[in-house]
Amino acid sequence: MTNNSMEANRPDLLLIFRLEGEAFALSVSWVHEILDAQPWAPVPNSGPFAPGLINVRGAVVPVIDIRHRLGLPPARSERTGRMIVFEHVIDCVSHKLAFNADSVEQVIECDLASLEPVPPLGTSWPQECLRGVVRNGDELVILLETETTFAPPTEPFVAA
Amino acid sequence: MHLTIKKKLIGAFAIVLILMSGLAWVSITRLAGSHSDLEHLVNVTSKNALIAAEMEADFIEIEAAQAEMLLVRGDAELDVFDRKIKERMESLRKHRLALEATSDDQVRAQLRELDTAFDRYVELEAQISEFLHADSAGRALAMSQGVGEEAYKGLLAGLERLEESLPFGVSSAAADPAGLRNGLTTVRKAVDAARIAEQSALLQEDLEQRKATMATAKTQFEQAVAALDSFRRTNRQADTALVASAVEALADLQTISGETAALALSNTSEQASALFAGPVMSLIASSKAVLSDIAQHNIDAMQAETQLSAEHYTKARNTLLTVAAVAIAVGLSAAIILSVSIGRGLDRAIALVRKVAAGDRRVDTSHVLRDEIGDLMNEMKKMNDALGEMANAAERISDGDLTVKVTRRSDYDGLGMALEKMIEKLREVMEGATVSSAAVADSSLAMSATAEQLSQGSTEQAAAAEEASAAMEQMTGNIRQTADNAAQTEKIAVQSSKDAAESGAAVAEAVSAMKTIAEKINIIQEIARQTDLLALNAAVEAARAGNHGKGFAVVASEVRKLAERSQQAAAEIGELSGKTVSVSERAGEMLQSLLPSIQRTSDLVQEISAATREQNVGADQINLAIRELDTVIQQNAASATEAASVSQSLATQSDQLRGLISYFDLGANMSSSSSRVPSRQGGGAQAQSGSSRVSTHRAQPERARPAAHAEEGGFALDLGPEELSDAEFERHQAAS
Repeated sequence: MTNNSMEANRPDLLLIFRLEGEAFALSVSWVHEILDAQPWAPVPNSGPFAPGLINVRGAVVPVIDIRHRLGLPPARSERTGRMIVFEHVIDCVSHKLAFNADSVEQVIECDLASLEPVPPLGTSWPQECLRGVVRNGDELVILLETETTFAPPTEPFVAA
Repeated sequence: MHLTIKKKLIGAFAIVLILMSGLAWVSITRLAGSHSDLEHLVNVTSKNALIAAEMEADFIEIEAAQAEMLLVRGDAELDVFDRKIKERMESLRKHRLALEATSDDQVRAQLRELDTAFDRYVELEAQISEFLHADSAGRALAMSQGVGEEAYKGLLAGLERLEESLPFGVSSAAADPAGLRNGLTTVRKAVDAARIAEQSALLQEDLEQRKATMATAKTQFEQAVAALDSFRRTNRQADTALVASAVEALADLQTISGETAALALSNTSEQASALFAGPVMSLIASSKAVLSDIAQHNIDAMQAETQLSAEHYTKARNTLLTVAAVAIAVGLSAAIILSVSIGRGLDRAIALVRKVAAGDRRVDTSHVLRDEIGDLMNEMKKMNDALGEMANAAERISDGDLTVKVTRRSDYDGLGMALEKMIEKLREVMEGATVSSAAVADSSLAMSATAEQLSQGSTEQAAAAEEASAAMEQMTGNIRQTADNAAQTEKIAVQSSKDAAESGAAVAEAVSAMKTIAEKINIIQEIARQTDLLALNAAVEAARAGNHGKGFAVVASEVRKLAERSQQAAAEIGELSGKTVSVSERAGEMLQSLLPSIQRTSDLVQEISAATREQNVGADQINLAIRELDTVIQQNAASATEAASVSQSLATQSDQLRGLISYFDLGANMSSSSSRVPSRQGGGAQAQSGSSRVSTHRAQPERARPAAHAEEGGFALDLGPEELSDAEFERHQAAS
């Protein structure tokens, strides 16, 4: 696990973004780039997990509906906010994926040792997607578990 | 004897009329004689000449008909001419009877001569007619060509048959056939020659030749008979029947030819022509000569009658001329005598009337003759005397004596009535004038006082007008100042109106500028957003670069902060500019709504200014008018003074008038009114002395009234209005 070895070396860098006012974090090492929100081309019969595709500098990237994944209500408008493109390894092959965020705040340095687990009763979100909670100032930031969050659904999730 | 003009005129006209009737009787008698002469000339003599000429014409017609008759053949045509001749004869007989009835003995003897000739002619005519009807030559020709030809042809046929019956050759022992044929040919030749001779005889004119030719024909026939006879004897075998028929035919032909010759030689036409050319022509010629004698006789008679008529005319003319000369002489002398006597009398009367018309009454009205002119003169004398009376009356009136009595001479006497009326009216007028002059004197005094009063009133009026003028001038000054202020206000208002319009435009400009700023701010915001994005990406990149990217991460973070700040500032600016736009838009709207009010205010101020200017002009005019009024009042004051002096002179004039009126003597009853005169003069003198005039005027009516009542009825002087004016005068005095 290269990730773990790196974590030992240096403090982890997290990208903080917001959905419905809540702050979420994502490890910067997987983030490819941040784009302005843009409309995606819907893929017929694609299901709610990855409803469409976008074009990122010539590469076709599937768009993940993270709100649906996290059991949040659908966005009021697709055009606002940012789009985060990141790399994800599925079956040892790196894929580029994208999802919409209301806004992208900043990159913070965070020691993952101070990661606190999410209390199981504290949220209605799917537990397997949450890695833990980090403090950023006074605010609590939820660190997403990318492995599970962006894994294609093998079995239907229990949606909220 | 009273020999009037009327009687003279009647006498003269009677003489002239008697002469005229004589003249008429003579001319009627003469005209009747001339008329009977003319009638005889027209009805008898000229008619007889005409009848004679017609009879001559009848004879000529008969002659012509007779001549034509000789040229025609045939009973029908001859009958036509016969009838014509008979008609003419009838007309001749009729004319003869007519001529005998109106002719004298000489003509009757000639007519009897004509009768014998006529009777002879009738016999001859009958003979000629008979001869012509006989027409022997024509009948001979007809017989030769009709019956003769037929017989001839029959003979020829018989001879032919006979020739055919003869045998040919020498079989016949009895006779030589050639000799027999020669015999027949001789017969035929002789018959032919006889026919030709007969025909030519019929065509010959001369009687002797015709006789000779006829004889030749007869000889030829005899030869033919002889030849036929010899043929019969030599040819015994010949058909006896045929020979007998040929002999018979020849005999017939010979007989017919003999008859024809007899007819042709009797020659009746020649006899008729001889008869016509001889005795008939001579008879007709003698008859025509007799008739022309008769016509000449009648023409001579006509000339004689014309001569007689001319003699009658000369006689009648001389008689008429004599009688007419006498009538003219009598009429002329009577006309001259009468016209001279009447003309003289009338000339005198005209001269007299002309003199009287010119007013000269010294005229001589004596007249010698006792006729109408004399009567006229007498009447003129009477008229002159009557005029003299009138003239005397008029003379007395002219001397001022109005007591004179004039009586009209009749109901139509215009002059008399006019004089009567004149005296009456003059009396009335003079009485009225006396009274009126007294009234004029009184009134002139009153007028003098009134004029004085008027003068004073005018002076007061002038003072008031001057005061009004001063007040008005002050007012004019105020108005002028107001006008100046209004003009300034107007300028300011116009300026503010313009400024407001400009401010509106400026606000609109500001609004648009603000809008531009807002747009630009959006661009800045977008840039800030992009910068933020870039900074984020840079931070991500730096993070991924690990320790090497740490510095870069710091820079990226800083850049991102700056971008955030600039975005925030831009957002604030955008908000502010949006607010400013809305505020300035509102300001613009408010200014726009304010603009009409300002404009209206400006307009109103301009109107006020104009009104004030007009007021200024009006005030000036009022001022001018007051000044003119002042002048007029001054003039009125002067006029009033003048009126006072005029009324004085009027009083003097009325006194003079009274003096003039006293020239007329109106009788005794007018003396009381004329006695008033001196007291009036005293009143007039007092009126000029100013302060005491009121009491004087009061005193006057009291004095005047009894005097007026004392006069005869109809002169009640009403001095009420004068009292009224006195009262007013007092009030004015109190006011001043």
